[in-house]
Amino acid sequence: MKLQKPLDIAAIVLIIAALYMAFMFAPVERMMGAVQKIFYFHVASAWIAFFAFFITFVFSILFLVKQNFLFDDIAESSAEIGIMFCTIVLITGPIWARPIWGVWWTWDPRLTTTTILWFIYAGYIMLRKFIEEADKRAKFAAAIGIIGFIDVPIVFFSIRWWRTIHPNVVQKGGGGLHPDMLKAMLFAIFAFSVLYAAMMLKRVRIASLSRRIDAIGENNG
Amino acid sequence: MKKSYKFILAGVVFAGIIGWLFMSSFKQESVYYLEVHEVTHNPEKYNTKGMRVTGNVLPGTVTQDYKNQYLLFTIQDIQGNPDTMKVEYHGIIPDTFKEDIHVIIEGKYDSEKQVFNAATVLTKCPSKYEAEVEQKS
Repeated sequence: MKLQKPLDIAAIVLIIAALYMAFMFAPVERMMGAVQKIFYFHVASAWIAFFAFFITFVFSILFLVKQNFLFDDIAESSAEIGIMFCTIVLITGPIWARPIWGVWWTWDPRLTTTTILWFIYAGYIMLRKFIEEADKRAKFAAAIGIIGFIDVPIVFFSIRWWRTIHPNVVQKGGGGLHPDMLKAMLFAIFAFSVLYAAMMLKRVRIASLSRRIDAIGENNG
Repeated sequence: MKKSYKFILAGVVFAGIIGWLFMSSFKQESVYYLEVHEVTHNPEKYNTKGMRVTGNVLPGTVTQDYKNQYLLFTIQDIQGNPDTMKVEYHGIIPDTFKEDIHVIIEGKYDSEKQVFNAATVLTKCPSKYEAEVEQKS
């Protein structure tokens, strides 16, 4: 793939630049101090997790309509990368919560729905491992990929719909943030998006290669 | 055959966890925390019930004893109501705890003594992020 190498390099450069933006460019937060720097990667990871699950949702529908297994590969790849970013959200969140809220975890609507999100896509990946027939696997997985996506808007709007400890900074009705912090945040989201694209390209390629190997195995066996 | 059993078992476990998370977070009147006035207006309803309440730590009401890990303070309703509630807490005092911040307390309300016995004190962070030293560019 011609696109792979430039994307890889761009991802590395942009992530380093995002670190610079978060730690050097953005000012230190008045109330929370340096620990607030985790915000840039926490939010960017959450955005990429949402986006990745959206891609899984779209390509799950496309698979059911067109029955093209490339779409199944894309849905699978995006779900795996999405759960990785969702895991980052669930790790950076408690690290940030402990010094600010005083606890590592609390069963608040935002935190609970995000945990549910993690389990939905962990279930999606497990389901894929358990079904051996490619056709059945793709159809069942597509069903979860579509239904499971319902939780993404719930996680997103939870801080507006319900009483929660989780702050609303950038959404409608939120507190807002320093313009330089906003720039750093948007840059981090952009950098993580390029990283997502670079990882997707690799992961989809692996998926289609393993599908080819399976096909060769079936023909010879 | 063995594989399909494993599949069903894993499916049930996952559906169970997801369902349990949903149920446990949305029962209890379906709110994460109560406001001070909601408790003080219906003290019988909430007496000795486990719950979370949010409020603003009133300046000048805080008694803290780091040695004995004891905290006594009063919180005021954050919706603009004049209602206040006395809170008693035994445990490690959070570093971020101070006057005039929003807290969420977990514990039980004693309507006879009109004291909330907190098991946990959570401090809310601001949802507006400002610079330490305001930069003019």
